[in-house]
Amino acid sequence: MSALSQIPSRASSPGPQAGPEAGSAVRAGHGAGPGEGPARARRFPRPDFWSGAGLPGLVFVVAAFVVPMAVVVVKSLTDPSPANYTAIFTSSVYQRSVVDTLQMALVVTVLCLLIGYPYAYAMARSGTAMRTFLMVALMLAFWTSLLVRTYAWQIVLNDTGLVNTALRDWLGLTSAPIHMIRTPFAVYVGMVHILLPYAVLALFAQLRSIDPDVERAAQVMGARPWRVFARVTLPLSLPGAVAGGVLVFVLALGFYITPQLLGGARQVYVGQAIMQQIEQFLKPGVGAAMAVLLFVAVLAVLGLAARFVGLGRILGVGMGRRR
Amino acid sequence: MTETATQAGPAGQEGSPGARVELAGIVKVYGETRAVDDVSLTVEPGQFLTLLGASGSGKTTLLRIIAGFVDADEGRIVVNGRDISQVPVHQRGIGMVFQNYALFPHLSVAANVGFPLEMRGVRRRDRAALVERALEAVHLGGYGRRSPKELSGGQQQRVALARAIVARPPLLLMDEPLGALDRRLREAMQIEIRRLSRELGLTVINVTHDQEEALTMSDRIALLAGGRLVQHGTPEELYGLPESEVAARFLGESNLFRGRVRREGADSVLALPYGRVLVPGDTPGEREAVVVVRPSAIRIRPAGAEPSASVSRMPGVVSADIYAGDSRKVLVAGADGAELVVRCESGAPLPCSVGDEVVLEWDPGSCHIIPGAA
Repeated sequence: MSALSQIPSRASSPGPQAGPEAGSAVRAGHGAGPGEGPARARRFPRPDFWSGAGLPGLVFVVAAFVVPMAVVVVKSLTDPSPANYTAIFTSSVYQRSVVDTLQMALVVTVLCLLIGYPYAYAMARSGTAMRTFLMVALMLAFWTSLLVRTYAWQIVLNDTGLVNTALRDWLGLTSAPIHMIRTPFAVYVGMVHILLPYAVLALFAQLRSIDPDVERAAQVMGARPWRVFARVTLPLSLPGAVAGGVLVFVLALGFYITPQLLGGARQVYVGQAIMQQIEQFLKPGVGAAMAVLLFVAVLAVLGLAARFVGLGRILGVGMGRRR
Repeated sequence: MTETATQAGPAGQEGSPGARVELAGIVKVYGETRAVDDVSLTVEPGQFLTLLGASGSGKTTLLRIIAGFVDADEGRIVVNGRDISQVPVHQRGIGMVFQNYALFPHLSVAANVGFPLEMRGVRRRDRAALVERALEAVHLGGYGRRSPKELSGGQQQRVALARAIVARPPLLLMDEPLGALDRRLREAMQIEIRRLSRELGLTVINVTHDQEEALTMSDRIALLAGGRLVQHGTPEELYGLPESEVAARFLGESNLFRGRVRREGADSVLALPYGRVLVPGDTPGEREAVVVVRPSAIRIRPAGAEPSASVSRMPGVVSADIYAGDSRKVLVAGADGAELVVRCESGAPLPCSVGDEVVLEWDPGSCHIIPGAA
């Protein structure tokens, strides 16, 4: 009946051939032709308000993302020609850049998970006060400008920075400064600091979703604490690790500012390579082609991960069914 | 088959008798509230004890203390003569069924059931047979390779039960195990669990707020209220001979009359301004008492009917007549406004309808006195 009431004009007006008698008969009966009304309603569902409210967002995404991305794709194929791609694939510099980037992203991901897991675990299991403190500490880092945090690391890791001063002047452990700035080490430190919250939040959400009774069940059945962790907690938290790991990895692939400020000249990561092509070598077409390849790689990683844990989980929103 | 089981060590002891469990002066305080307040009781080997109480009565906290998830502030838990109060959870050797089953979602049914055996170091070869036997005991033979997620609620409950008993623990704890099942399944599982625990000779401590479940399944019921042990006894004792108002109110429907009992000629009588309640037994002098009358003991007669000899009588007005299938529940407003509950057979015609004035009668022998209750 609700389906009928949505299309009152069609349902109550008889067809053109139907005489007055037929019309009254219909009205006396169950309304319109029984099957027809609801079927039509299903074929043309009335769009509900909230779906419509998303439309401006859709327009924005098209204007701010799809259109520029299309420009980049076109540029990569036409400025001057699709040979841009061949140039990339034959360039040993670019190949090294890709290998370095993958390696860096992988190291950062592993470090984020290794550091983030205990942090998230402590957060998930501690009392309200401690959890709030850990969350605020995490968010404080999260909300501080990326540029500020990167410069801060520059000051800390400098040859005359905090670490070296401490080692040499205060502790007397070293005579010459340990060279940390402009090395992959500095990049790892800076990037882990910046990307850690993503890993922690994904792991935390997953750990919190584990029913404490499941762990208690393992305990009561004779599992020591570390076996409870190995057999129950760890396997059940893996989707969170995958989600957080993928997010960190994908973000690390395209990082520019932090490697630029903390890294050395020997490692040119993809983000920097794109800038070089455009600004130094004045080859925007090649830069565009690199950007397209990076974009495709990110999509591929996300697509692959989505098959295992679901895209909604990685992006931190509940996709699909509402719970 | 039997041989494999015995070889498996402590896990496979045939018909190992259940444990004797003693709780001595258990106290647990959360902030201002005494969640468990000085509870002492003993469960004999093979007994099925139900901790019964409303939510907040401390029954779940008490169960968690026995399991070891919560440390008691005071008191001891003694199992088979050994004080386990300080023993870590994983060394207590207890089986447990959780309210929401708490199956391991990432493991197969067989791996779930085999988990306690694995933790006790039973070899993989021996495990398979024991697991299958435990699954057969709960009528899930052949379900081992499935994932718990594929099973219905009732089936998951059976897996949880199989997992709890597979290692033949001397003590089985159950935390509202049937709460999430629908009524018919719940009743079937009650019988099933009772049969299994008898066959295995398990000592069981079960937590529920469902009085029917408690009465059906238990050898003993420990009624808790506000963290205290109100009464501990057989279901018959708790229902028939409640020792306090709390017990009388919690178990089944009851009509309570409060007043002073005194002698009137040959009878002991609880005198009320609007009727008289005969009390069985002799009463030396006067005393305060609460008289409990179960709804099924009361007969309804029309207001003008000739009074029967030596019965308790109480006038009232029928305020509701509720049909409940095998019985019919009639609410009668007494002269003081308090509502009395009467249960009649649903087959017999009622001699009255809503709004009629009636007289309620019952034999003195069918009521129970809680002495000293003021």
